[in-house]
Amino acid sequence: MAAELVVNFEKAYPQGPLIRANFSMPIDHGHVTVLFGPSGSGKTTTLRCLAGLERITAGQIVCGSDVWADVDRGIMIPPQQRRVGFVFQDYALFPHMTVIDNIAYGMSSGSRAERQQRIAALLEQLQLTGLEQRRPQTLSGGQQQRVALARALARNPRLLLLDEPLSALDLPTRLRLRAELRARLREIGRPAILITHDWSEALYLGDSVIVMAQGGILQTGSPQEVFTKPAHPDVASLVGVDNLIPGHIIRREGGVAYVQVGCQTIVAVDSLEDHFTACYVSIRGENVVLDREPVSSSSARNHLAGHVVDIQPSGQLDRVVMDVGFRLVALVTPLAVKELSLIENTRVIATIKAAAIHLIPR
Amino acid sequence: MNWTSVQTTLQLAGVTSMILLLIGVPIAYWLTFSQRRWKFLVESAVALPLVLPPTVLGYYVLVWLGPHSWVGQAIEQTIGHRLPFTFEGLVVASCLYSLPFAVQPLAAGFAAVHPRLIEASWTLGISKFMTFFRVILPQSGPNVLTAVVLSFAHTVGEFGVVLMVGGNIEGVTRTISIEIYDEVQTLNFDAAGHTAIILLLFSFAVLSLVYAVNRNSRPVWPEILGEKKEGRHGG
Repeated sequence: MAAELVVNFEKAYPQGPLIRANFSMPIDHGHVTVLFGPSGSGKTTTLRCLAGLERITAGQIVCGSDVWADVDRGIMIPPQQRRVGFVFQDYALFPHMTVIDNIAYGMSSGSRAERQQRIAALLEQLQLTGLEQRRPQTLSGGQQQRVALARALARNPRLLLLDEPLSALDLPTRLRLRAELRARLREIGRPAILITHDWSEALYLGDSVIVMAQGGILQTGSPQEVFTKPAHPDVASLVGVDNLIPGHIIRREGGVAYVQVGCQTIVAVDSLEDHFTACYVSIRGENVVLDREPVSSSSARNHLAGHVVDIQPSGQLDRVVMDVGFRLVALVTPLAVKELSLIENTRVIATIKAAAIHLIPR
Repeated sequence: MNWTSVQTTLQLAGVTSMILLLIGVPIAYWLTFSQRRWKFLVESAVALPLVLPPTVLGYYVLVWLGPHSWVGQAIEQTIGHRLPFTFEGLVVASCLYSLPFAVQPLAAGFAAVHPRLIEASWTLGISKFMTFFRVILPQSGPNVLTAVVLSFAHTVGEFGVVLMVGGNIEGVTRTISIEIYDEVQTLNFDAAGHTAIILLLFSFAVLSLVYAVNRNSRPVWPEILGEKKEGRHGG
């Protein structure tokens, strides 16, 4: 049996919320599980229970062959003995220590030489060379994050826990560091649980996603599963995207990317993040324009021919589900549906501007 | 100006503030981090010398250390002599009298350390005990200094407790404040004035030092008064 983290617990606060978590994940390779949900959904509490910083009130947490907590058997292993690497939201670096002292803080095993070698390797791996003697307060957000990661990794943890690792940063930095963090997590190859409330971050960083809301888990699965087949209306609204389709970038040219999606090729403004080919194509339903006849000339780059599969009223707008070689959802007004006399099997042309298509690496 | 009484005073204040640092740290740690419901009772007991007349405190210390109490008898059997009207007796009384001046700045300092730093240390495998020495104490530097300086200064300035427990024995228990009282009793106002101005300047210098050290962190008075305001460092 592959080593697994098996989590099944409740955490009740007196006169407060009840948090329930029930999931498992492999811990024998660098699998990244994302805990995704709005603030107040119990994500951080779940992570803190895993680290041993909170005491669970029912159930158990088992990591491989070790029982970390079991309420019925009265077992509660303290955080010191769980060997987890916790990266806090604000990084919680020790302000009275230098970068190197922060990283070396939890290291106790091995000889002095071995430890120094390991620190040197971490400094190198996380591009912190040259910053050894600096204080955390003098570092940029990205550098602080890397120090926090190095400090957590220095103990050789069985499991990395990252609480909103990107939320302390401003937006441009966040986008840049998102790519960097993903590359690092791949490179490190440790099982990790990461919290985010940003769906694109979840999609970008997670091998699997756990969606939490109001203290409970709504859905678990691969990012694609969760985002394309929300098992719960709340998940769909949390995800907030009508179309998320896997594709492959086949060509890049003059700032645009040509993406193979099913049998269609669509044109999108290229992502600046990094050079990937496997991607998700994310299109919001309100950005899809419908016509009955082909448009003679238009600035929009994508004109996809297909037919209507279903029309679902959805609040003020109607969801028009089409087959254009792949499943595409458009959000249009009921008046437009009437004027175009759309019914099932009506042939339509869906028009989407290249700028309205968001490419997310997968 | 009698240098013997200055020497006695400095010795007493030095020994007292060092002992208070040693016992104040665990008390402050317990007061900061304990979850016990009856913690407020201990807090009140520690703060008692702030409001109690020194004569009341001195009276109880005298009675407890005296030959008629079991504490006094036990001490006499252990060390071979009685504590009242000795330097050691004075140290015991001073420690009780200045206890809040050591404990409260320390407790405020420990409470201002961001809990996440403490938790980070735990997740890095460091015990609660070692976390105290590696994270909490270094983060509370200005407060440790405040605790030492305030308990030193407060001991220098004590009068009622010294008179009750130590009496007025030159070279043993006669401190500066008692000397001033003596000089005034014998209408020797010039000598009293000399000593008084030195004590005044000393107290002012000490408080200036405390405020200077703390000017970038947080106010001193709320700590002395026992209010634990959230500090600005550590976050």
